[in-house]
Amino acid sequence: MEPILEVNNLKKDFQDFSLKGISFSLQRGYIMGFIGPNGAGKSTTIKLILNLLKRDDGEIKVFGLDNLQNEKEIKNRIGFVLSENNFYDELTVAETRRIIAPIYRDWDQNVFQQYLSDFALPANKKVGELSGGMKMKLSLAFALSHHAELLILDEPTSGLDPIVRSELLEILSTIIQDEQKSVFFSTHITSDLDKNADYITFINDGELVLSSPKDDLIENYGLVRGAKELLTDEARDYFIGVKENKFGFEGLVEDKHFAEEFFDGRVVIEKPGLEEIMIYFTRGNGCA
Amino acid sequence: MLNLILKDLLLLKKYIFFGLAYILIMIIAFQNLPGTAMLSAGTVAMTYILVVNSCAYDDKNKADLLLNSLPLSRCDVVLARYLSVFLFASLAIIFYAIIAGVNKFVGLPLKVSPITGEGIVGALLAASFMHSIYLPAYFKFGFIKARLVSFVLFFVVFFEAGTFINRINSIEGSLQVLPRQGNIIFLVVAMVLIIVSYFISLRSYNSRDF
Amino acid sequence: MDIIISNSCQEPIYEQIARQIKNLIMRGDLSGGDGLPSIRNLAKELQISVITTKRAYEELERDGYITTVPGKGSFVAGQNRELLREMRLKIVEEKLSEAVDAGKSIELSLNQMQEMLKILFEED
Repeated sequence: MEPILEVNNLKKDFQDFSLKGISFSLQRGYIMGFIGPNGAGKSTTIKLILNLLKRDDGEIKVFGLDNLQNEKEIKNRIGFVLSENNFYDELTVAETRRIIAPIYRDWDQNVFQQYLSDFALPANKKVGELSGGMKMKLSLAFALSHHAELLILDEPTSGLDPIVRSELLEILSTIIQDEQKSVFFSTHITSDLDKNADYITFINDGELVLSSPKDDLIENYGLVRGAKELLTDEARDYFIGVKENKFGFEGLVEDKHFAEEFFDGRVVIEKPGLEEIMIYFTRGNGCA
Repeated sequence: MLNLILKDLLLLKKYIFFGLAYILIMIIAFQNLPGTAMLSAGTVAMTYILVVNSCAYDDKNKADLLLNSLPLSRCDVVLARYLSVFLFASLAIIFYAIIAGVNKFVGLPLKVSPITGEGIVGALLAASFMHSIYLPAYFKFGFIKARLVSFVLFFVVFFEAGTFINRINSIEGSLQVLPRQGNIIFLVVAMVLIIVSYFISLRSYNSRDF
Repeated sequence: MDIIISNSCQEPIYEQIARQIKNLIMRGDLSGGDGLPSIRNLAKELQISVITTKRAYEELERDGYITTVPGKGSFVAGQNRELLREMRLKIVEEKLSEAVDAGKSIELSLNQMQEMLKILFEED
């Protein structure tokens, strides 16, 4: 089946940074987490998908359509939440709706009303007077009120407390229940994705590091801890990244079963979280 | 696209009502100048303030990100801006008419030049001309850098606006063209100017990265 | 139906789910023909990836514990606990066999092994 989002060899050059040709795809009905350290190119990628930035090379397809040639059609079916807050601070929630609603072909006022009430967003309050968490919820309400099939979120939870973050994830999980909608969610707070994400795409310094099902990462990769003497040059080769401290070492391996055999029970091996995966890939010091 | 103009109106609520005040001030300031000066000056002043402030709001709220993520084309965004110039200018003229009417009715000690067809054309021309230059600068360089352009333009056009029509009349005289025809020619020139300006703006805005 | 997963234990989550459902079926808490939650519903409730639940159900289906009808959902396999019980018996036999081998390798007697079995059994 055709992916709902497909990025091929996407390139973009800036003065001090470039996206060097990244590729990944997302099928309908899944949540993909898009992770990477600050400055890795996550926002750039999302802006390229939304055509806020012009790409230098590569291809972006949404719903199987080219994102440049079918821009309006695609944007009618995408819901977005951007990290810098989107709306006019001086307008009220109701006024904002009056402007935005008619722009969408499939706007559903009943759904919007329901979200306003679920999120406790007062219609006559100025957007500028809402808290960070409420602004994000407002963005989400707009994103979800026009039967969007793909939700794109760019660091929606930065600066928000864990409770709001957890509420957001609940909502996202509910959205994909119908197997038709997908969520593309960029964040550097990887704990948000440890649980619910289906796929993880990880970029660093403008390049793709990996794009796989989250379970494959968490179940197959291993966080290995052991005595320093075990970290021979040969051993180092198998690590993606290693950290040494006074009392031992900790590192990430791609295949924990292999590590079990190799170290023959002399190490502690645990499931890594996405945070550790991101840290060790970025850190290096291994040679894998 | 029309929603974008609505957006500007909602944002500018306060300023629109001040518009009446601006016009009044212009009338007072231009008490002794030739006929159409008041109307032109008032129109230019109010249009300028409304357009520049709506651009300011867009800049402050990083609206380019929002608007270009919505199913709107860049063409819609630019067109809305240009149309709003005419909307605001028309509003200014209407406000002027209201003040003129009130003045007559209540008998204030103000000399308010009556509105003439020529006056309206002159006012619209002045507003149109000014924004034909400001808007491409705004769309290419963004609000902050375009501010310089807007300041300079405002003063130039403002002070010239009043005498613009008379200058035109004298040019018409020397070219031996009838005033009526002269008006039409200048109207056409202004229209061409603003259309060219529109396409320049569109080109700049289309290639911008946000 | 209760399913409790542990993030910290080494067993992959899909295996934990499969194992727990197998046990429910074995114990009779779930009977043949009973409907199971959809993979998406289960994923959402447990706050895990739908790929995980899918894998768990695939394993259950492969091992004959459940059947999945496209468009309708997954159901506990009609046939019988007996068949499943037989499979389980086989597993017990295999494990005991391993234990016997291990015991023999350090020359434990039958009595010693039975003693150990008794203690372990009663430990529960």
